[in-house]
Amino acid sequence: MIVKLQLKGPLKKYGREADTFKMQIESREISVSDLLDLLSIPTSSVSFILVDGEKAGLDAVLKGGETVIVNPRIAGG
Amino acid sequence: MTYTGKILRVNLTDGKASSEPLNLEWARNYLGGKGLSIKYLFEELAPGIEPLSEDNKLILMTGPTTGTIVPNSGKLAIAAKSPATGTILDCSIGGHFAPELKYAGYDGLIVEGKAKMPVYLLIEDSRIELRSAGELWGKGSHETEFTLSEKHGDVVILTIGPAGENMLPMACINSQLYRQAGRGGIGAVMGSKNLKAIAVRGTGGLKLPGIRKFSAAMNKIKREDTMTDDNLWAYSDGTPMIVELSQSTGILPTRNFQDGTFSESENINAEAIKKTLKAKKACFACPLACGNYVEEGKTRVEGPEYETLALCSANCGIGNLEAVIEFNRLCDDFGLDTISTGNTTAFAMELTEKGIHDFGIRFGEVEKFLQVPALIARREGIGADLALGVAAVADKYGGREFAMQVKGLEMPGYEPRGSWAMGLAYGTADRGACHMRAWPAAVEAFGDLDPFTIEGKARLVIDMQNDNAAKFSAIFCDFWALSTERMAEILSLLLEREITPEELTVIGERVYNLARLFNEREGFERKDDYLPERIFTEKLSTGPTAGKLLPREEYEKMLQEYYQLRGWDENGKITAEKKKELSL
Amino acid sequence: MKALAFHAEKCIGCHLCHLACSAQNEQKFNPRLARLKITSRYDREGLRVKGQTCDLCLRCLEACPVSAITVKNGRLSFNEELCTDCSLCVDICPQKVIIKKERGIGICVQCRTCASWCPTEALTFEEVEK
Repeated sequence: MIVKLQLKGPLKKYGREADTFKMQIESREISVSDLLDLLSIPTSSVSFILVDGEKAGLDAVLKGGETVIVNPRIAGG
Repeated sequence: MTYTGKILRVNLTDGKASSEPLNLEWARNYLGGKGLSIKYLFEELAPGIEPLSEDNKLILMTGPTTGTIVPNSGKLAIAAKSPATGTILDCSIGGHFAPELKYAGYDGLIVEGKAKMPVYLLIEDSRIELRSAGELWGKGSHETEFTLSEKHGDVVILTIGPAGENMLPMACINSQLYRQAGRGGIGAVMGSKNLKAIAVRGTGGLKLPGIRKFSAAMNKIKREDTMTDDNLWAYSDGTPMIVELSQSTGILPTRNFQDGTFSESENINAEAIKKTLKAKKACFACPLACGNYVEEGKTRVEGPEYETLALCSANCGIGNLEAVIEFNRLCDDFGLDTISTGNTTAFAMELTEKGIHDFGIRFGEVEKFLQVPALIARREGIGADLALGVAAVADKYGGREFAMQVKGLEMPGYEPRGSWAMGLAYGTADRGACHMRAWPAAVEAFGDLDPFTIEGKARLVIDMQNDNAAKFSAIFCDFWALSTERMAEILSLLLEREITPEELTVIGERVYNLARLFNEREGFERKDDYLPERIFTEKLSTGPTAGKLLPREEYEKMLQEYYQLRGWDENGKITAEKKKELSL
Repeated sequence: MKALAFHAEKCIGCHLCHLACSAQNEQKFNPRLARLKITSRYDREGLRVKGQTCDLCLRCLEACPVSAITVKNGRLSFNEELCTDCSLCVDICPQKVIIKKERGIGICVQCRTCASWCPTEALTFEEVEK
């Protein structure tokens, strides 16, 4: 399966330094939490994740074809 | 200890300057910055004074971290009684002024009285001078800074623009062109004193025993705790990053808070800003450099920050980035707070579209939008009314239920219907609707907590308010997500006594309660802790927050729980026990 | 020899380098006592970033009439006992990074504390032609 990824801000370093990239995963489905593991992104560095534009929890399951946006934590506004 | 132990007091009425010892007991209980400036105001201002009279005082306060190598310690607190709200008002400004004041030998500066003619204050170490600002009066903040820099060399300058001179409730104080003490009309207080600018040069420096070891420890902290995933968004993107976060969670105020998503958000998000980026810019001692110096077309600015993008772009229905950058530059130069100016402009747009009063300006009208800052700052045309802010405009023409303010201060860029604790944070913020006293959006809309429940939110907001009060007193910039433990560790080294995280939490609580006590003395109570009707009764209509509101009864419950946990009574007054507990 | 180099396009104007230098070499937090000069200010034309660091040009060494400044292991070394406080080195330094003190001078010894603090690698330690 293939998912499209956007790692925002400082999380970009865990990906391919590109704004958006596609990732091939050798299984039929994967949880968001396992996807973060695969990319070595600590969950403590993540504020929230969007799957196809909707907020998704760590246990959400991806089946391929989704766009996943991973946002960093932010303090202050 | 990294206090200088001296406060400079300048009386503009008689032109006298004097240096006095810092009240060390107060410094122990309130640290510096926010806390200490509020303490001085609480003790020195008589209740009920008119904020724009010579009875008000303008206090500039540094903290124990100021001027040292501690990361993110470059901020300065500026405080007074607010002309916009009548509450206590403390602002936080970045740039390089705070360390310079400290190197000149002062922990703080208290400005009293009123000059007969426009003046500026020049501080060169112990040499204090009031000089005529006759030539500068009427000039923009930017021209004022250029002129004073050309005259005095490497001084650091605080200045007001025409908005401050004209004593607008949305007038800010500027430094280094693009940094602001923005809210509550702090610039109007300067204007009311006929004080155009303050320029400082300090050559003294600070001593600390074991300074090399201390610096090495701070360098480690900078690498391992400051320049990390939690904070580097400031460098990679800066606050424009929040545009997408707010848009994707439906809390981006749009068209005067009628919606929580903006159809043209891609024009103003972090990626769009990056295309115009020329350089990253930091405040003193900050490794994170949130500042984005941008150029687009014929205009340039350090900004626009998220608040400007939310309130002056989405909230005014303006999706043209160059126009927003220009609006931002105009506000900075005229000395206008972009949050209040954007809000007031959007309010005028809605009043016009609804046929309540014709201000001749509608959502998305770029050309008219760009005329607004000058009109407001000079109180000309529609600006004569808009200069009063949304609460006063509503009193005059109607639309009170969608005048987006609390206690008279216009609301920042997080829609409370999509982040309920944000509503409580606005309602209970000491200076009116403010996002810097607590920012629960980070853990609700942008985190794991359910944004649409009041469960646990009172506690959350209280903890954030107390932590931030300590943080803004120390002083640290809010963009470093440092723990209370880390704060205590650093302050213990600077103050050469053991400060525990628990003591800091108590200090934060004390500061927050003193601010509340100041407001209580001015007659504020429970009825002033509410949000505009729109939040309670109108459903949002687009995006992930479509159909959402913050039901009034839920807000009531949350507020009640908040008072109870704070140790305040039913009417929001601090109980005698709580006062005793905090030695107030 | 290797010496400090400044890359203006990376500088964010935080002045941590100044603080680090003055703490290391003068035991004070005082940016004006730093043995390098970085400015990042807005003027009428926009943002202006300038940096002056010791590039080991050795003009100070040549100017010193009493040989109080020497080179040891690729670094400048200052001998206060020999110094006559004539300030010739201060005046001749093209980078203006030698500071005049009450007694003697403060000179960059390429300790690199400033570079170790720079958050954006705007200060580096590079080979210079000599």
